[in-house]
Amino acid sequence: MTCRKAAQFIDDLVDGELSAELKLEVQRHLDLCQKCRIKSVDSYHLKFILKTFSVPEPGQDYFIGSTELILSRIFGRSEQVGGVH
Amino acid sequence: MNSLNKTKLYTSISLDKSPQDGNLSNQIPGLVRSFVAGDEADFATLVRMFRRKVYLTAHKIVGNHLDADEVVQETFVRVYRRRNELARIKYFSTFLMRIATNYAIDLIRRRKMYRDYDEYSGHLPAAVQIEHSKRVNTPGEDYENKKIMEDIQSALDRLPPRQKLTAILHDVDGHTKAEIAVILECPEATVRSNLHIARAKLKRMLRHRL
Repeated sequence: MTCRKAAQFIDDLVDGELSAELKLEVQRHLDLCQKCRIKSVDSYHLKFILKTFSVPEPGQDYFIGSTELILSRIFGRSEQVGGVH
Repeated sequence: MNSLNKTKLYTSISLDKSPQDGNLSNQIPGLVRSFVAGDEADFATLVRMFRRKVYLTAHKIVGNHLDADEVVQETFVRVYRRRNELARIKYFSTFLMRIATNYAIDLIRRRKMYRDYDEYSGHLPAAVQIEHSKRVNTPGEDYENKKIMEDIQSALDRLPPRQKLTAILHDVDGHTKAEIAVILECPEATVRSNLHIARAKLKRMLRHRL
């Protein structure tokens, strides 16, 4: 397998979407080619750090208040609809 | 795709992953039917089930609390106004996330236009924004962790909207390519292409973190 060909499969390899046969073929190439190996590690690490990406999450008070506002906008009143939050 | 796989696909994306809401997921089709028939309480239940999911995805797309809040509000108001369409749409969460992501992208574009026109610095006075931000919990207090999150957000913000959305839905939120194709109403090949380009750009922008 050439580096150009291997590069096409790195995303699928990282996503675990390669067939067993193709995975083995890419793996063989990576064993021999340091440049492609580094590229695949970069891809894997990028996916890893994106997976850790989180945003500040507001507390339950925010969600309760937000729901009240939505229901108030739609139904034109502010009382709770539908029991507990 | 056979109907069983389709059902599994849409069931998986319809769940709010938070534990308190997960056990309600089987009730979604029934809640939607009675909401369409005019039951306000069931609409309220759907809002509670999905508000967190919409907020968290919206925040990652728009990058701040105030805009994410606007996306949440507008999404549910629009879902309500378009409730008659739900009779023809089988999967509520796909319909919901499509409205949310479209609104979030529109919001980014409008903000960009405004920023280009007149340095955008938020639509509320600074003191209000600062005070408000104190009420929002930040999970990672560690400085370095915060820096990494800022770097990721900054890199994502520099991607074109469709690439950004695809990267967030796939690599951050864990949706499959098939699910994203349904949400974004595009072929799966387009999802793959956008994801590939987005990752290449992110790798360059986050080189110092890899």
